Amino acid sequence: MSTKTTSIEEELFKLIEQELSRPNYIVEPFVQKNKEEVGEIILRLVQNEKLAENLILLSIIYRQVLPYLEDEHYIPILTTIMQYDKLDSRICFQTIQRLGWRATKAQEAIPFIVKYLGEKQGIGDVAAIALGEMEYDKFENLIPGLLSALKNAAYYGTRMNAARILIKNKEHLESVLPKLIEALESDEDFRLRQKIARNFGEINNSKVKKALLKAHKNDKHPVVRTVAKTSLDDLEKLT
Amino acid sequence: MSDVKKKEGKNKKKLTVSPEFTLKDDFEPFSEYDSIFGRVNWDEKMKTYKVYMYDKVPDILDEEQPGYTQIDHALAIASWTVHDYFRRAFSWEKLAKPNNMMPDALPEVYKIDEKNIDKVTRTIKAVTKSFGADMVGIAPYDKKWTYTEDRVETPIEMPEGMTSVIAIGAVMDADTISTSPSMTQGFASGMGYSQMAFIVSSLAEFIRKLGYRAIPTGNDTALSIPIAVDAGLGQVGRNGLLTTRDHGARVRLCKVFTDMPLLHDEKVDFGLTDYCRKCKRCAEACENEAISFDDEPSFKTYSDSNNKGIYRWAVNVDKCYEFWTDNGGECSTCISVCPFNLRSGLRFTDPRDYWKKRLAEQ
Ligand code: SF4
Ligand code: SF4
Repeated sequence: MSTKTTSIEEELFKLIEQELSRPNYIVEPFVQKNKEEVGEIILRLVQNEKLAENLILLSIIYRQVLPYLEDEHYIPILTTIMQYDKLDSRICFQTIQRLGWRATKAQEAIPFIVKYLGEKQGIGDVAAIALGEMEYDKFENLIPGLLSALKNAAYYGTRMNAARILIKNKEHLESVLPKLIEALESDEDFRLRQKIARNFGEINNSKVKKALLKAHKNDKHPVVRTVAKTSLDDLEKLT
Repeated sequence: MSDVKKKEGKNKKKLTVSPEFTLKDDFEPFSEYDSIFGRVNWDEKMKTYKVYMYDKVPDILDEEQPGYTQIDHALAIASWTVHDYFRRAFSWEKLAKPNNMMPDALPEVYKIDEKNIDKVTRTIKAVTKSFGADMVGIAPYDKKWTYTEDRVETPIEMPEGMTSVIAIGAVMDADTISTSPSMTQGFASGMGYSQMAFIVSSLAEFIRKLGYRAIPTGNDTALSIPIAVDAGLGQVGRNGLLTTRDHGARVRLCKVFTDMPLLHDEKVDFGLTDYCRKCKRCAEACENEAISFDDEPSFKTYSDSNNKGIYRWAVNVDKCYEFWTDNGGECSTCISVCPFNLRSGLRFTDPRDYWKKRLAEQ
């Protein structure tokens, strides 16, 4: 390790130490100035699986270090963390979500995410969504996870993402349509219902049309009713 | 990666979204006539041609739905009052009688030289904040951000001699924004616009009283976002908005052009572009998938209202506006979910809780 890297490492850990005692976002400007060296330092650091036990340190790394690193370090760091035997569920969730956001660029992480499909505490949900973003070639294997996320995820945003990925994959749309219609009819959050209603405006299908008519007439939220009307008008233009 | 490839990669000219803008040859100053609020009046190709933001409100109001009641809508609309009815706030000329009954003192031009320019600049910032601004920065006047025409196609000619633009940010109420996309949330935007009118009109009069020209503007006359970037208030995010380090995009922007000699601020780079590359929260949360999921910024555009030739993540503003019309008012979901906004501890608030909290304070 060069002297420069050693001094950057010392400085980085000094700042992290200070941040641990009093959160002040002082780590991130330092990372931005020394991206390359910090990327290497963190990549080395994550090789030690013991890191998984230090949740506060990990949370600083996730919030203030990782976002500023280049992919050449960012993706291997997250992929290494994905290989830990024991991983806190929140860290596991965040790691999968972040890899999913890098989409096809993070395909090297696919084998380590696949094993989380079906996992509880929302992790299976986010794994299915991330793999969908990463264009996992066995999309059919993701469908059960995505449908479960659509129905059961506690956070409406996760349900919304599951719906988005399911709608995006036109090849399998026909088979998942009944579940999407069910979500349009019964999800408790109007934001998800309006989004499905909006997306339905591009699917020229009689079941979809029927579902939209129903939403337009009966949905309890006015925005869903209005969006359903807009989508019906859009479908009208398509026919 | 081989060392040669690594080296090549590093030698490539870095394209930046902000604070330095990367412009291509097809970049041209923008006409406000082509903005979404201009096109809605004339662009028959637009899906929401002649559909205005509040057209569907009578169908949307619903006393059973938190955030969509008549009270929420009334609050949102009322908050715009100063902006909408005090149109002279944005007057290019000094405000005069009959509004102002006091006789005009004719001031000398306040002398500004090398010795006092720093103090004058700080005074301008202090005064702007005294009028209610939360953030102030000053940029050199850059013609390329001035609209060529206004929304109704009237050419805009900035007077000769403008040297600076004072970019102003008013932070919007966190609780209210976090109720997005409800109508309640419209109150934060409306208040921001009304505050704008108050701040820029007062600041312009202050500058005029010192003997200099001042042109107060809200969203009109020039693009507020790049000007705010040039003035060091923040950077441009994936959501296309001016994003500040401490409040995210929860900031309403306005600006005053002037020929008063002033010192200019440095631009800021707090790493937002890198952050947005890795984060797609706003794209996921957008109510109508108007925000790009692209991994990298580019010169791609998604709407005829996107200014061409600028490297960034362009937002499909047609889709965004379409949601606004179906929602009976603006939306701020992409503002509320951004981690830079959430640094203040903000979370989504149910409009019911918003009202509970407000009423309990009484
Ligand atoms: S304002 Fe709403 S609809 Fe528009 S881009 Fe933001 S989240 Fe999407
Ligand atoms: S939510 Fe994330 S991607 Fe969107 S503007 Fe904020 S930091 Fe950037």
